[in-house]
Amino acid sequence: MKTRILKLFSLTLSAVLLSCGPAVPEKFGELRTLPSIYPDYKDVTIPCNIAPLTFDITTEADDYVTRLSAGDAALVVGGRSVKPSIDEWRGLLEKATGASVSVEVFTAKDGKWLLHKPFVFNVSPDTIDSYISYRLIPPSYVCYESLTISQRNLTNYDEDVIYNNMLVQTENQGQCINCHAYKNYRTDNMQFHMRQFKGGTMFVHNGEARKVDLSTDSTLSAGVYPSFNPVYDVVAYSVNTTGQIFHTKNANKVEVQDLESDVIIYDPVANTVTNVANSKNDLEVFPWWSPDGLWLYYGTAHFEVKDTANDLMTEEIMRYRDIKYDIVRRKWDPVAKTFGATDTVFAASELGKSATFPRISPDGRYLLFALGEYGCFHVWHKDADLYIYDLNTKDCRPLSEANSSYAESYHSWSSNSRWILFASRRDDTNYTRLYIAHVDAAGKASKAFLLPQQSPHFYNFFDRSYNVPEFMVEPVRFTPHEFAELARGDAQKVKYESDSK
Amino acid sequence: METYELLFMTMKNKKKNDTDTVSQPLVAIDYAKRSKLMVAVFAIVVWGLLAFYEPALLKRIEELSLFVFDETFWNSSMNVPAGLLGYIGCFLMQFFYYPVLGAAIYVALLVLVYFLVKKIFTIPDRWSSLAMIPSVLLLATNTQLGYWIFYIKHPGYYYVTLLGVIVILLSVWLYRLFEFSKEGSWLFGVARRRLHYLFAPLFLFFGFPLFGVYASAASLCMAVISVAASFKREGKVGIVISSLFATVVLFMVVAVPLVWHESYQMISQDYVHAAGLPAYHWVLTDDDHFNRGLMREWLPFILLFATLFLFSLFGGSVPSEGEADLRYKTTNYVILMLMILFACLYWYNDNNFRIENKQNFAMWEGDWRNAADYARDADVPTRQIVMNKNIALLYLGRAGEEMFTYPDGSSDIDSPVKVHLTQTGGKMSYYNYGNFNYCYRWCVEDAVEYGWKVEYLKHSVRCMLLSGEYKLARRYINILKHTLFHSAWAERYEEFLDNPARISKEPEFKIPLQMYSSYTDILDVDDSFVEVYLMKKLSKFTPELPAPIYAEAQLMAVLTRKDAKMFWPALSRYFSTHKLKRLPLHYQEALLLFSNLNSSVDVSNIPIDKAVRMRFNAFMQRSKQYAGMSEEEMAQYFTEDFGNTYWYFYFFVRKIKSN
Repeated sequence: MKTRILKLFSLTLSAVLLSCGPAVPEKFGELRTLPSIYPDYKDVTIPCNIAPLTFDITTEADDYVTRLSAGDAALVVGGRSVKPSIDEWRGLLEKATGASVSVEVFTAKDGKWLLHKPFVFNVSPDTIDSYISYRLIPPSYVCYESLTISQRNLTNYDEDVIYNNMLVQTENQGQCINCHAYKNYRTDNMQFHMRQFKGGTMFVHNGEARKVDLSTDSTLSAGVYPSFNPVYDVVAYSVNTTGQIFHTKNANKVEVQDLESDVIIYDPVANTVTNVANSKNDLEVFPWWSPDGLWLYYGTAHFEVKDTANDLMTEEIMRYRDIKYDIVRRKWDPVAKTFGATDTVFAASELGKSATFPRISPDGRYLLFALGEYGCFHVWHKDADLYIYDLNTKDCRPLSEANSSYAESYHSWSSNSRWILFASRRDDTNYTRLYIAHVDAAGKASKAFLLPQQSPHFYNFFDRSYNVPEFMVEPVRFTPHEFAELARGDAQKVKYESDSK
Repeated sequence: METYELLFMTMKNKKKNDTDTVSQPLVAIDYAKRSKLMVAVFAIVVWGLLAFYEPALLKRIEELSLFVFDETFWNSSMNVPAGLLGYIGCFLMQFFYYPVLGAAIYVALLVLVYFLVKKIFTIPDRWSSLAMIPSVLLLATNTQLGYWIFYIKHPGYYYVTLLGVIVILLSVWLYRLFEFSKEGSWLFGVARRRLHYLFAPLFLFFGFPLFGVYASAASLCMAVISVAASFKREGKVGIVISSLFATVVLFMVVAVPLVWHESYQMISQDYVHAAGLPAYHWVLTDDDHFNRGLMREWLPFILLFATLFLFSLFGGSVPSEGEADLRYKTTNYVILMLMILFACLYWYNDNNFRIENKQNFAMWEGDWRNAADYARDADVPTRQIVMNKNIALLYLGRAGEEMFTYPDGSSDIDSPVKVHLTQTGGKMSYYNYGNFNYCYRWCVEDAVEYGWKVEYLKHSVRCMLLSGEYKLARRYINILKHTLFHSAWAERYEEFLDNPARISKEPEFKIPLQMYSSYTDILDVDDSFVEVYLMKKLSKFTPELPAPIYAEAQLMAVLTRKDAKMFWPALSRYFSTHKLKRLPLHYQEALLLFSNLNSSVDVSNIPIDKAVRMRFNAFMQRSKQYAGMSEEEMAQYFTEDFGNTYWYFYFFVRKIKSN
């Protein structure tokens, strides 16, 4: 008797649950307009291994049904928030790889269903690296409190902390963290910096972590913006004296300026640093190695003092719009450990612009950089856009397909050179969010899409900016507490070697 | 004669006349009434003081908090131990939006603590004043705060300790059910002497992520109860077992936070044992003033935990029988008096702080008359009060007539924490002077440091709306729409976003927009000194076509800075932007003063009121008369007749120190 009752109960429950599942309406009218959704994933190109793209339908209606279909596979989701499960999503992408997922949004108002003009997710067979890392930081000016360097699995929504400054800093003594970097997308050679309290550089060399102090009496500062040589065991850094000053009215709000900057090389085996570029009238920043490890690219701005102010720094602040960076490169001899003459790659200053953050695709074909009106810290510059430079043909053009009318900067190439990840302020102009775009072999990009989150309205309440996004092919193995343990200890001081020629 | 004594005598008489009644229950009823009366008086007085004496403070506390119905908010709350208490605390702090309601909820929980203490530690009615101690100490942890409300990094702080103590009491109560249940009683009886040894460690381990230090304190209370009970009731074996149990708990109080710390990244190992306590600095500094302040702030917490441990030790031992002798009465009186004294000492009763908060709300309401008038209540005002008053008068168009008729100066701020205007009212000043970027900057800086608050969000909405950054304004409006009491405010401002053409027509925005449009963009820094920055900027920066309001603000800044050199161009600009029938009083006073100091300026064509000229002559005459006196002495003599003039401000309101 009991068994029969249980069976009956199970059947009834199943029937109720099934009858509650969303279904595409049988009768509906058709609209010629696309539905309004957030994030805007309409007609984007996505990798075949990406986590589900969740979105909210922002068109006002009484009820919502969305059908995602690819081939003979379909998924029907009810409600305003479209959140496919990872398993269902993977099933769809398997069918859609090399083709697309069609998305049909039905909305009901006053009992009448309407089908909006469908849109698609184009599913590229080019996979994306499984991991990315970034710094999470409030869009701050001077103050900082809780900062993390975090890693995210792109194939799902898992996010872990690599390091959190709160593990070490105290109420009275803050610690700023920044500039994480990896060698060849792997984490057995990586680094990030800690500033102020218990400062130093957390340097992982061939799987061994140590804390080093990259400052010397002969260099401007400790290492700042890093680049691991992909072939040889050296790291290039810019060394900078950086200042912040505030606009009283301009929407850009802040100017982050390098008042002085040079480039150095760090040899982690010998534990030595060497100056590479330290001209008095030139500001050098954002070094980046070519994939063959034989060319060092960086941004450089020539600044001549005109005595318009009492001191150099005041003059730089007053003439901030005159500071314009070009992208140059220098040949490196890994045996002699010397550099050749400076070769200008992109003379942005001649166009009245400023180009920074050179990043070369791992296949060596394209140079991607951020171009703005002036200065080097384009994340605060509304006019900053991504530009792509073909190193074979020397053609250069804005990456308009991925750009917006707000700041774009801090870009990174995937290890297969087919995806770019960059920071953009297009969402609300102040909080940098991560966007991903496909770049084909001809250098043509697709519409960029926002890094998907489990909750489609996650970004509405998330009060951190995503900073310095980097692709990785594997996660960082050290735990935050292991890094913190090292961070509490003393840093190993580097030695200075005479200037590189 | 006091009520309870009357009652006591009545009952004694009744006892004599009633042969069927046993004396003891009658006396107990008497004490029960007395204790209820005491609680009622406590509740009504505290509620009344909070709701009707400190409504502006409660509202400010609410505006300096945030609770959003969203999973991101929940997740960020839960990423530290005791996060649950912070989350509930933030939720409850919202109700201070209505001070009467918020205070009622708060007081109700304080009363709950009293009854729990009394019940759990079996404190008899005749000693009920003892049970009131934790509630009074809890009250003191908050009423002492003062300017800390701008700096405390402890979400939901107003309720966290209170909720934490309730957690301690409820868990101890549960523990006592295990330990002291009668043999054979339902549920706990069978497991007596076995389960209670497990309960404390388990509660500590699983409770620490939710309740932090309060889980540790609860388990320590349990250990104390166990040891105390074993000495009373058991033989050597029982004492040994209880001591072992206490040792294990003690070890776990040290170890469990460290174990859990591995799961958290938002808290340093140095602080993990104190998770759930406010982040007052632990480490003493070289600054004695600061250290004294800190010791003062920690004292209610120290006494609170000490009281709970003492209750655990002696709970159940407080005699419930015996005559109401002198010793008992005296002790109760002393306890009550000490509690009242402690509560008074720990009530931050700073008039300037109260005025600043009242001005703040008047300014949000656009009630400029009250915003200015509150400043009259100050003896020596803080610079924030003076700035608020000047802004209010500028907006009322009464600055020229009233600006120097209010108390002026720069009172020191009575706080162990270093107070900057950027946190207290600087954002409001920046907004009202049209410096939207700077107002927004300090919202963001403070949000980084102390977390987003309703006040920062509202300032950000207004600034971004008026500077045309609609996407950003919508972001903050969206967050406010998810709050319990500010959604209507957000929706009102959302209407401007949907129809931006309405912004320039809205009377509320007229003056800030006029000020804003007078500036051109430059790069500079304020070094956290709002008044110094604003007054300097207003005095020195001259737009080509200043709005009339800007010209007046500039003249006010020049007078505040006593800048004789900049006075003449500022006055000229004021004339050129205003159609005047008569130059306002204080500007006439300044004109007479500066022309007297610099005789090369010809002011003969500017009409000066006869009364003003006569008064100035009298002022100068009096100055000669008092020559040789010290500045302080002269100030006293001048106050009555000239205290409301610019001349008095110029000569006697000196050493203004802006924070």
